[in-house]
Amino acid sequence: MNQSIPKARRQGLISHEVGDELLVYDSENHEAKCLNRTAALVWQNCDGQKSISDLAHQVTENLSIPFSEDIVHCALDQLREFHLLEPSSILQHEKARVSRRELIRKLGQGGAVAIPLVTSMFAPTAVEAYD
Amino acid sequence: MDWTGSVSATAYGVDIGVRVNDPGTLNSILRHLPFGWKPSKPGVVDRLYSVLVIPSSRGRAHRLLYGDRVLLIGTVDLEELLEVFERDVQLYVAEHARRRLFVHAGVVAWAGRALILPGRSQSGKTTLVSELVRVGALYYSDEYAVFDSDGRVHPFAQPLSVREQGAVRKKKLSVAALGGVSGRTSLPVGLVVLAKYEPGRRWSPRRLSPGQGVLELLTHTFSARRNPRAAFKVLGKIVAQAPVIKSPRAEAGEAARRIIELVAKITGQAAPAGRAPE
Repeated sequence: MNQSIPKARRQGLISHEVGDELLVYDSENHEAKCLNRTAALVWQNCDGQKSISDLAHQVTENLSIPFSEDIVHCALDQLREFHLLEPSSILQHEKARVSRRELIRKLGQGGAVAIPLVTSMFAPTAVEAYD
Repeated sequence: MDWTGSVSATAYGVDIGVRVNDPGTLNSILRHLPFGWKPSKPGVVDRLYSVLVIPSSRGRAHRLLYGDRVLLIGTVDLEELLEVFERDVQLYVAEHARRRLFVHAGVVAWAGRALILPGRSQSGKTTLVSELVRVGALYYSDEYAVFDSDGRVHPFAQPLSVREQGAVRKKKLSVAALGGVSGRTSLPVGLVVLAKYEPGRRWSPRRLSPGQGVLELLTHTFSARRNPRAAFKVLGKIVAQAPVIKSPRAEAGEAARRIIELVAKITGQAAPAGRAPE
């Protein structure tokens, strides 16, 4: 596999759109994740065909921001951390070249909303929801 | 076993059976079935409770409570058994309810909108609900927010469970004892407030994004693991109609005032002292 072709994991996941965010439930570890618009765009386009450069074009055009592969790398780093990429493509994925903090500085105030963000919480059992 | 009394009940689409070998216990059990339960025809049930009373020549009878085949408690104290039964049957219904989503939350209404106050046990939900009722909000629940598929909330207006300082056991308190009234109809949600009691902390609300709001609500949803798809659907509708805010809170009185101010702003209804506008 080409080292720059990430592929999204789909098996065992339930996704649901809320506004421009995407919720993803992982049935394997009962973790629910929230992908902001940028992270969702990257994840939904990780089809195992598009290169990092293709993804960057897609994302930056959609968000109307200057072309940046760093945004894609930052998103992929988080998607990997939250087990949302196929393990085979994770092995090949390069480490993010910039941190979120650096990216915010690079993109400035206006571009800050484009910073990819994935957050997660564990879904409780019924007893845990009560306690 | 010689069962001398039994009842079949249905609550939120869940069929429950209870059988006892001591008819006197059955009446007590009935008082602890979930809010809104109805008698049903005897038949196959989703969960069967068995209460065995074993007389003792040395004093108080020993009582055993089974949920299906699992022993839930053995005790000489009927009140303790009833507490365990009530918690277990409510949890079972909350997790398995059909066409309803149960979230662990207090609920009151103000100006035709529901205020949802999610929180774990002992996070201060009942205290905050009581305070809101005292200033005129309609009471819906201190424990369970019950949503339909449109995200509207329905009353689960059982008596409030109040833990008095230093007491091990909770006390039931009617909403009338607080000078309040229970809501009777389903309502759209006006505001979700995640406000955990943290002594000494200032009220400092921040609004969550809709997606973050769903994640927070999901951590209080009883069927989150059993049916995450349905939970996402209903919770998504709630956050589409109402803001979700998160803040630490200190005293319930101040938090209640701040919450009413917020919901008054959302609904466009002033927040006078006294009863809420109908």
